[in-house]
Amino acid sequence: MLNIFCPICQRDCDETELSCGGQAHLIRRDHASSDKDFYEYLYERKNDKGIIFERWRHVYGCGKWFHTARCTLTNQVFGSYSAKEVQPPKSILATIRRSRVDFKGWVK
Amino acid sequence: MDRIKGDTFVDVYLIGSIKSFNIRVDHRDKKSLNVIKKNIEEKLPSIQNATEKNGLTLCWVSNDEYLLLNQRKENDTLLKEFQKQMNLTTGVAENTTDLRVWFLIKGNRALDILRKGVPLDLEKSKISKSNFLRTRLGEIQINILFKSLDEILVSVIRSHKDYMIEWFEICTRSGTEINFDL
Amino acid sequence: MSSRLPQEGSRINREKTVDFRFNGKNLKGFYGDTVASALLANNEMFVARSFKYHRPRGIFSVGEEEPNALMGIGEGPSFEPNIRATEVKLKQNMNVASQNHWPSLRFDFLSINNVFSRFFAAGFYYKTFMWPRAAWKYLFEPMIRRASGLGKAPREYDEEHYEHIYHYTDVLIIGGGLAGITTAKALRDRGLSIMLCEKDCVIGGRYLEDSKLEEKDRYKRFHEKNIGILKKSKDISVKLNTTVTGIFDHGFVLAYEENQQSNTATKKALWKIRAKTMILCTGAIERPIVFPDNDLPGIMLAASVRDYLQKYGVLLGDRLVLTTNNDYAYKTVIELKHRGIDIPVVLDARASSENPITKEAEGLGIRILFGKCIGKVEGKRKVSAIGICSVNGEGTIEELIPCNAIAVSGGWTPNVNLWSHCGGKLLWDGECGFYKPDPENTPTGREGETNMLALGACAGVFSNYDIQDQVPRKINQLASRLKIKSKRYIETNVFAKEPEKKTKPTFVVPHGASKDKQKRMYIDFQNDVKVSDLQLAVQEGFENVEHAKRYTTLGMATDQGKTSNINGIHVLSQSLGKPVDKIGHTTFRPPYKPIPLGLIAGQYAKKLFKPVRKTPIDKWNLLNNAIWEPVADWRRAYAYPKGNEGLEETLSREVLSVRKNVGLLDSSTLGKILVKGPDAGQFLDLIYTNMISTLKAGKCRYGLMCNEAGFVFDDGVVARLNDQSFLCHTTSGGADRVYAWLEEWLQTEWHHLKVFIVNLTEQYSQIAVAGPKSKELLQTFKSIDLSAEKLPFMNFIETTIDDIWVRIYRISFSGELSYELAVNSNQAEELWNKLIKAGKKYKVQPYGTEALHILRAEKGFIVVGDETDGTVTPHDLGMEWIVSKKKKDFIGKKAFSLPHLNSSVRKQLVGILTLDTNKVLPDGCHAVEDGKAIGHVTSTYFSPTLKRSIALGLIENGGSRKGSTLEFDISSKESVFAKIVDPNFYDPEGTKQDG
Repeated sequence: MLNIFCPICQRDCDETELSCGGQAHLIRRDHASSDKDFYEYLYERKNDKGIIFERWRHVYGCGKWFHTARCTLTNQVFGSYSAKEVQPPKSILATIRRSRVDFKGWVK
Repeated sequence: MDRIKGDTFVDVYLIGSIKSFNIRVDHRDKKSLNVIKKNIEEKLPSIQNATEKNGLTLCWVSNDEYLLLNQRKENDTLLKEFQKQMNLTTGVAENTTDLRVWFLIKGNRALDILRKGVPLDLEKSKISKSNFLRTRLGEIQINILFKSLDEILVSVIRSHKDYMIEWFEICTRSGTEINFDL
Repeated sequence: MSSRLPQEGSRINREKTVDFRFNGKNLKGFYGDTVASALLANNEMFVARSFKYHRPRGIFSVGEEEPNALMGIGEGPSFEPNIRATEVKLKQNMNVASQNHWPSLRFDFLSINNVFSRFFAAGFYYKTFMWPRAAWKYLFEPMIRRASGLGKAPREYDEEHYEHIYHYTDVLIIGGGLAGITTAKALRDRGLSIMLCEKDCVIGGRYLEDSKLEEKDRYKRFHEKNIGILKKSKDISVKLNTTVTGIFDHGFVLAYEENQQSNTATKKALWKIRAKTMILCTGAIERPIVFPDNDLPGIMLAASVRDYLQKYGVLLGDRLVLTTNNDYAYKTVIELKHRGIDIPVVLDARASSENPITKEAEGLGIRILFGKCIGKVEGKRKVSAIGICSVNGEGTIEELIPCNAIAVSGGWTPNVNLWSHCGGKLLWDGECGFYKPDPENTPTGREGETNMLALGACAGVFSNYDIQDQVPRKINQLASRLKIKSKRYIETNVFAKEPEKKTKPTFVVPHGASKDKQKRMYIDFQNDVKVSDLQLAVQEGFENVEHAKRYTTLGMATDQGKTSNINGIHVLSQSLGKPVDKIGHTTFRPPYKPIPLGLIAGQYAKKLFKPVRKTPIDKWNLLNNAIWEPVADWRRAYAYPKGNEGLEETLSREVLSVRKNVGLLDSSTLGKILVKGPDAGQFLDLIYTNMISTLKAGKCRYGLMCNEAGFVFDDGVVARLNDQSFLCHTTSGGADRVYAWLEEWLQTEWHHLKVFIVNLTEQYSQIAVAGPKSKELLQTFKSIDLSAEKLPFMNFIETTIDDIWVRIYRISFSGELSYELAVNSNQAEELWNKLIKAGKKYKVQPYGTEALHILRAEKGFIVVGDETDGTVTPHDLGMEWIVSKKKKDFIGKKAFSLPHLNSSVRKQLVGILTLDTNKVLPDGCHAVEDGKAIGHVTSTYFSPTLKRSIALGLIENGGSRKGSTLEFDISSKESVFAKIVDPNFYDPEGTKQDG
C-alpha cells in the first residue's frame, strides 16, 4: 500500500486517502484540434514499465490534485509536485537521475 | 450533549451542529485575505493547524480553503458582516452549519479510538493542541480538531451521523483498548 | 505411545485442569497446553487423515509449520475448520474434531483412495473423469464433491469480533528470539520508536529450550533480565501473540494478533503498521529428511520432540530413534536420555562428525551409526519398528530396530517469506543447503532505500554466540547509516563460543531408492505429494519450478510448504540434473500463514461495511412505512404503502394525487454546488452544453453535462443567485462526482479562472410540493406570494415559512404546477411536518422515487442513468436544442463534430406504447428486427394517469421510426409488439405546468 507525500498538506498519506487520476501532463485538445490529436487525447495512454508520471487527488484530505513520479517496478516515488506543472520540474528529474542512471528523461 | 451509550473506555458525546462557514480564498488576492484578517484573526493558521480567538476557530483545510467555527452567540453579528464583506471579493464565505455533525471524544485513551480507523501517525509527541486534520476514518471522511490530547472534536457530514455513532459504539467498548505486552 | 511426564513443562499450569472433547471423547489437559500437546499427553497419536490418500497421520511439529494435525475447532457460530492443533490453546469445554474422513477417523471409507493411489498420482485430474460425459453430472461430480475439500465449511456467520489498528513506528522488529531481543536492546535510548512483534505468547525464541543442562539456570537469569529491560524501556512496544503476515509497499506491514488467553473483547486484531525500517528476526524452521514411509503417526521433527518435552512435559515415545544429517538434532536425544528414555540408535546420514555433541551422546550410551538412514518403517497407524539401510544404495534393510517414535531432522531452513514479499531476493547457500536473504538485493522503501535487515537464524546465522556477537555490530552500522544519534551498543556475550554445528545437505535418502520406495517417500504431507510425483512432473515436461509446483500441488496446501519446499526443489534439481540455484524457488506471497477472512474485514463488516446515507426526513419516512430504494449510498423512500395496499395500488395512489391534488417529495439527496467568482459564468459555459452565463439573477435553467467524448453524464437545474454566484443542482448519485469534476477542471486545466466552488449538497434539504393544489397549500403560509408574476416558471424567490428560511424554485419534474423548497437541513424535518399538517386540508400525499419516475416518464423527461448509460449524446436524446451553437468552446463540443457521433444508425430516444395496453415491457428488453437487436427499453412503467403501460427506449434511427410497430423480445418464447411514438405521453403542450 503506497504512502505518498501530499505537497499541499505537507504530510504523508496512505493510498486509501487518495484517488489516482491516471497519466499526468495530458494536453487538452479542444474544438480546434484535429481528429487524430483528439482521439489520442481521449483514449491513448502510456503504460511504461519503469518511471511514470501520474496524477493523484487527496480526496479525503485537502481535496487537491498533485503529480508524482513513480517507478512501476519497485514503487519508488521520486517526489510530489504541483498539478499546475505542464511537465515534470527539473528538481524531480534530477532526483530520478540520481538513482536511475539510465533514465532517458520525460517524453511528452 | 448526548453521550454515546454503552460500557466504554472513553466518553463520546454527540454535539450536533456547530455554526460554521466554508471559506475559499486566493492567497494572492490581498483584498479577500484582509477581510479574514480584519474580522476573524490577524494570524492565519499554518498547514494542518487551527487558531482560536474569542470563540472563533479558524481551521486550515487547504491552500485556498478554511473552515470557520463559532461557539459564541455574541459573534453572530460580526459573522454576518464578515460574510457580506467576503462575498463582495473574489472569495467565498458560505454558511455550512447544517452540513456537518460534531462529536466530542473525551478521555486519556481518546487517541486509541482514532487509531482504530485513521491511517495517520497519531503519536502523542507529534500531535499539538491546535492540530486540525482532515482525513479518513473507516469508510468516511472526517475532520479532527484537537482541543487537547484528551479532548478531541470530530465531524462528519450529516448523512454519515448514524454510521459514525455505530462506529463509536463498536470501537469504544470496554475491553477493546489497544494494549501492548510485557 | 505418547504420554505426559509427571513433572516439568514451562508453558503449562498443572494446578489448572482443562476438559475438552476430541472426536466425542472426553479428555483432560492443563491450562497452557495446545490442542496438540494435550492430545499427545492423552496418547492420541493418530489424529488426522491426509488430503488425497486419507493416510493416517500424527502430529509432526510444534508450530505453524504443522502439515498434518488440522482440526475443526468449536461449534455453531464459533466453528472454524483447518486449524493447526499446534497453534490452538486449550480452553475449557473446547470441541475438537479431526477432518477429512467418513464416517470416522478410525474407519474411513475414503481411505480406499490409498489403495488406488497409483491412479491418483499428480495431475490425475487432468487425465481422468472425462468420459463418458454424461457420467460427469450424475456420477463423477457428486462423488468428487463428497470426497474433496479439506475441512467442513462453517454454516453460520462468524461471530468473532475483529478490529483494525493502525500503528506507526520508526523500527519494526519481527520476531522476539535472541536476534530480535538483542536488536531491541541495541536500538533503545536512541530516540526511536520501536515495535517488536512476536508470534508466540512469550519472547525468547529457542535459547532456553536449546540450552545445555548445566547452562539452563544462567540462561534463565539472562532471559529474566531481557524481559526486565524491554519492560522498562519507554521506546519499545512489544506485542505478543502477533504474527507479521505480510510485507507490502513503503514499509506497510500487516500483523495478525490472536490473543487466545486474553479476557478482553478484542482477541483478534489486524495491525496495519507503517515502519520506516524493519529488522527481520524470524528464525528458521526445521525440515525433515525424506525417507520411505516417512509420514506415519509417531514421526516428528527433532526440535519439536524436545520442545514438547520442555514446554509441555509431553513425551512422544519412550523408545525413540533419531535420523539426521546435522549436529543440532543430537540435542533432542541428549535431553531424552537425561530423562531416562531409551534411544536404541541414531542414524546420521553423514560420513562422520567432529562436533563434541556426538561424543557427548555416545558418552551417554547412545549408539550412533554414520552413513545410515531409514529404509522402511513398520506399523499401520503408528511406528512399531524401523529398518536401517545405507545412505548410498537402494535401501536394502540391514537391521530392524523396534521403536515407537522417530525424530527426524534434515537441517534448518531460514524463514525468509517476509524478506521476499516486497522485492527482496534470495541466495542459495549450497554448503548448508538453504536459501537465505541476499544482502545485495534487499527489499526497498519509498525512496529506493534498503528498508529491511535480516539478522540471526533467518539470515543463516545459527550460533547464539555469533548472533550476540554480530547483531550489536550490525545495529550500530544501521544506526550510523540512518544518521541516528549513535552511541555504540556493546553487550557482553552470555553464550560461549562453541565448535560450529554442521549440516550436510541431504534431502532424500537412500540416494538410490527404487521407484517403488519413491512412491512411499512423502515430501508435502498435506497434499500427499511424493518423490515419484515430482519425478513424474519432470517426465511430463513440467520442469520450471512454478509449473512443477502447480502440477503436483507441492507447497500449495495450508502450510504453504514450510517443511517441504526445499526438499521438493532438491528433487527437481536431481531429476533435471540442474544445480538448485538454477531451479530457483516459487514466489512467496502474503499471508505468511492462514488468516480468517473476518480479520481482513475487521470491524468494517455488517453495519460498518458501507455507510447508509440518510436524509433529514429519514425518521419520518421510517415511521410512515416507507419502502427503501438505494440511490448511490443514500436510502430514499421508494413508496409509502398504506394499510394492505399492493405496490401497484400505492404507486397509483401517489401518482394520481400529484396529478389531481398535491404531493410531497423528499428530494434532499439532490446535489447542490455553489459556483462563485467573477469567472463563474465563463466556467459554467465550459462545463454545460448550453449557455449559462446569460442566465439572469433570480432565474433557473436546466443544463446538461457531457464528458469530453460527448456523452451525457449528469443534468440538473442551475439557479443564478446573483451576479457572481450560481447554484448548480446535480443528480443524487452524481453530486460527489460532479463536485470532483468541477474541482478537477479548476485545479488542473483552467486554474487561471477566478472561481471557487462549495459543495452544499447536505447544507440544504429540498422538498418538492407538486400538483394542481400545490400553490394553495403554500399560500396557507401568510408570508409567501406565489402569484404568477411574483414567481413565474423557472424562477425562484427567497422567503420564510413561519420563520424558517426557504428558497422556493418554481421548477417541475412532473409536468404539474410544482415548487421545490430548499431549506437548511437542520430545519427540514420541521418544515416537512408543517407542510404535512397544512396539506391535510388538501389531502396531501407523500410520494416516493418510483412515483417520481412514473410522473416524469409520462412527460418524456430523461433520467441520467436510465436513458443514458455513458454512451448517449444529447442529440441521441432529441435534445439538440440544449447544445449551444454560439459558444466557442465547451466540454464535448469537439466530440459532437466527429462522424461516429452523427451517424444515422445511432440509437435515439423514443416513446414505446405496447399494442396490448396492459402489457408492461421488462426493463432493458431488446427490440428485434430481421434477427438483429436494434435497441432497448430504458424505462418502463404502468401509468396510472393514462391507465396503460408506457416505456422509453433507445432505438436505432428511432426518430424516423415514429408510427411504426416493432417487435420486442421478452424471452426465448415470447415477444411483444409496440408502436414507436414521441416520448411525451401526457399533456404534450405543457398546459398543466401553470396549474
